[in-house]
Amino acid sequence: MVGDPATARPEPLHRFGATFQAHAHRWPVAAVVALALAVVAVLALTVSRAPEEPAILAVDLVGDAPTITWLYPATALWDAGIRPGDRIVSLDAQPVDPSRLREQVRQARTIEVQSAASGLPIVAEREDPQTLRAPLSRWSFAVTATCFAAVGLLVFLLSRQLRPAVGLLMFGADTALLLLASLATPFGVPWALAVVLMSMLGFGFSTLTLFVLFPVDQTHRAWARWAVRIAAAASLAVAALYVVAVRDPTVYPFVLRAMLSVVSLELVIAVGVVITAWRASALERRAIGLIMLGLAAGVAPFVLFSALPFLIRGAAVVPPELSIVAISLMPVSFGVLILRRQFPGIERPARRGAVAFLVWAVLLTIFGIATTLVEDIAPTQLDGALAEAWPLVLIALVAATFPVLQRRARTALERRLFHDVYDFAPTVQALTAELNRLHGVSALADATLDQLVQTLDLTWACILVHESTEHHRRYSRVRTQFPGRGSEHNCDDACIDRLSEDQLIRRAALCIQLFTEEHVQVGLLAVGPKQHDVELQAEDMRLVETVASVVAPVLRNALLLAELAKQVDVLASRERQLATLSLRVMRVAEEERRRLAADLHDEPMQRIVLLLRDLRSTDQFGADLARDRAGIQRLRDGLNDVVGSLGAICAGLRPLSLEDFGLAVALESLVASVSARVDNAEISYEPAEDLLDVRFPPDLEVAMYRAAQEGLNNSLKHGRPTAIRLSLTGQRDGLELVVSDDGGSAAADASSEVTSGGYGLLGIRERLTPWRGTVNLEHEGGNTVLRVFVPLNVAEYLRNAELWSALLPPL
Amino acid sequence: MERTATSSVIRVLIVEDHPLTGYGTAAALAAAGLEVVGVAGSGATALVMARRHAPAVVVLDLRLPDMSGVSVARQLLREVPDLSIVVLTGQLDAAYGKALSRIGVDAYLTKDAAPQDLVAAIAAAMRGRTLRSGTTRRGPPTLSDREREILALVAEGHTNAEIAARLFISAKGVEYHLSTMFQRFEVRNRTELTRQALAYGLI
Repeated sequence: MVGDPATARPEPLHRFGATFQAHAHRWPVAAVVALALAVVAVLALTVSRAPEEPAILAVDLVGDAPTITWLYPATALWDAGIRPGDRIVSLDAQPVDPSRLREQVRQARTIEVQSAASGLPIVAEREDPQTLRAPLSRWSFAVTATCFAAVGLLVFLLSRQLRPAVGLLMFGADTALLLLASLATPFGVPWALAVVLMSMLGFGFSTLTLFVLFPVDQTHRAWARWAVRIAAAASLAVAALYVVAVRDPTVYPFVLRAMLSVVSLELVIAVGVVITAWRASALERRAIGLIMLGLAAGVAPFVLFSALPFLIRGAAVVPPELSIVAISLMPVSFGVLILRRQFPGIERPARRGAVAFLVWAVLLTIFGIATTLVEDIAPTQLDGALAEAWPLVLIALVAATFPVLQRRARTALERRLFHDVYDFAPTVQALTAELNRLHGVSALADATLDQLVQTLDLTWACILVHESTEHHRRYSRVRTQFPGRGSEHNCDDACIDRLSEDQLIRRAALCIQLFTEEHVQVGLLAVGPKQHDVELQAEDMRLVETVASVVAPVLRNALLLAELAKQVDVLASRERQLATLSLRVMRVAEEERRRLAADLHDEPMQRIVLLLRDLRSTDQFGADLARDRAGIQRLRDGLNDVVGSLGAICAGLRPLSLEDFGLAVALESLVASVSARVDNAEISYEPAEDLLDVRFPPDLEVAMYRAAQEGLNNSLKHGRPTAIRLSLTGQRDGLELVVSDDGGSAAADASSEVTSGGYGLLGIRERLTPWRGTVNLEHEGGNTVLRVFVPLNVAEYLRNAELWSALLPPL
Repeated sequence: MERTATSSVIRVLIVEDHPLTGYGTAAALAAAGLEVVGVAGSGATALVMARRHAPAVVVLDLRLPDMSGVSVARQLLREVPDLSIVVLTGQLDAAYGKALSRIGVDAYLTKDAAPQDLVAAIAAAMRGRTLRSGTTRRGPPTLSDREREILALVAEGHTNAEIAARLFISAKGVEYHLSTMFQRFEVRNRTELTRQALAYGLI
């Protein structure tokens, strides 16, 4: 079975952003990342919970000599030039005791070593381990790391677009990893240092990636994408170098420098991307402003209150733990930004949640106070059993009233605060009722659009009605310009009407084809994004779909009615035309009869009456032979006249030559007979030789003949021509008849157009209508030219005539 | 259908749908010594009879009930190219005549022509000479008195209405005579008619 109509429900064409679709396939990735972070966190916290002071260097006996096996970089010892591999000469100016080497090292303030690289002695003083430990406070690092990781995971799981989601996951996870591993590094854990270095690289790279993938069109530049690729390659190279450096500590400084350069460059490029994007629209500027705000708000407290005082050896204004926590604002700002642009409807659940939270808090407080008050009073007056049941009663009361009250209060508050809160069923019912009340396509479309735009707080909505296969009418409602979210969905009034159907579909947040139950497509319903929210909710989409299914049959009916009304109009006007035409035909017929009667009565009848009277005189014939002969001659002449009159009348009614020899010959006859009638004008006609034997369809021949007759009559009636030219020519694409005269009467056309009682141009036009012939009357100077043209394949008729004459005997 | 060229008697087929007229014509021709092989009442009969009797001349009325006389003439001439055809017609004008002779009709006459005119036309056609309504090209056309009067008045530049008033006849009658004369003189308008008439010395 192909396409069961019952199951072939029309699907919405396009959805801008599926709403909270938990991207199921992303869960495993998120779980792995979260687990890895948790493992690192547990390990780091376990290490850092050790009672010892943070170790900044590890020592061991290499052979007999106490040697530095590991040194925490970025310490005073490192800065002094001490490196792993150096041999310890003395500790606090005391010689080294190999048996209690570690304890000695832990307590030592001053260390003297012999450099493995240069062989020279180096003496350096350690910083106070506490100062080193303070900024690395465990809880502040843990909180900040959790914040980064949470934002990264959340965005990754919920974001509609994958690439920015991956970017933010990398960013969050790397930063969290960096912070967590940093907890462990001061305790001389080699893996932690490796993790720190790697996550440092990852941090730089993911920052750059994030900015490049940032969902602002202007940042999707070719050079930015290349920068990301190069950064990825550089990061990999540095990571590989680090593997070498683990085996050969002398390479380490180089690796460190390379890594710092790469990360710095990446950050610089990221800033470059931001600056480039800054030139873009207000929308992008606002987004970038938010990032900058997040960065500033995140880093500034730490720098101002802790790092700066520490660097200038002053007292920290704010405990470093607090100011480090402020760095959490950084991922938060990223997260908010991406959520605002990409999270379907995150804003609305958030604010509805806030409202619910507020309502519940207030209600519960009231309940609590009320319960306390009641409990204070009630139990004193109650008996024991009832007093014991009292709390249950209270709980039951609360359980009974709370849901109702909270829903009422919440709805009331939401209605007051938000624009797009509605109840599904009543809304649909109201719309259905209104649609049933209305008539006419435009009224229906307008009502639907008004309802949708108002209920859903849309920026725009549009209904495309397919009035016929090629004619689509568009009805649209546009509210204020959507201020700065996803510019590709913005539309003002003019722009909606300018858009093509495809563009409209692409810009719509939701597009639904309007199908009736019989699967007739009536049109298209497209709605834009919401005004105060990002995306349409699942409920909103359901509402739009329901409205579409309600409005489609109604629109279809309205269209059918409109079509019916149009056809009734057409029929009525056609009937009027027919009535007029039949009246005209009757008039023409009457006029012809009247003329014929007049012709017969005026001429032959009168002659015959006279002849009869003359015949009476034949009674006296016989007396004078000569007179008798003259009388007979007179009678014969009279009879000849009668025959002549009748012949002329017959020829005018039905030209024989037209029937027998066709148009060209008949026109010659016509010219001859008109010439006989006319005294003051010379009528010339040269038949085209090639048309002489050509026969056209009989109706066309009659029509053209009448046209010529009418043309000649017009010339003679309306002007005083001295010469009339008639010509019939076969052209490539048709047959042309031209009647031109020098009688030049400007009124000719007007009167002949108006007196259309079968004699004017209108009569000719009507005769030529079946042949799609055209009739033109022009005045060129003093000349009047009537041009009748009938599109025709003349060549074919000429060929037929040749065949015909080929059958003729030679003359 | 072989032509009896040796026979001195001219075999004539009459095609005429009015029986009385047909047999009248037949009687007149027989009286003039021609052999009438038959009278056909329709185009189809005419074709059949022409095949059967092989006439030398066909006297053809152009108004036939079943088909156009012109197509009967065409078909007859296609089958027997040297057949002589004399047409009897109500229509009289130069264009019509020319068209008739173009399809190979030897002579044509108006229906009111006298029987001797028809015999003369048949004789002329048999001699291979085209005769138009009793007039040959070579001489001036014979004119009736009324025609002479009208010709004279036309030459003086009178209008039809004036001529009609003078001669106590109708304007349509004047038209009729004029168009007959146009046809006989083979001209198209009154200027040419006057010129021709002067050339023949008729005025």
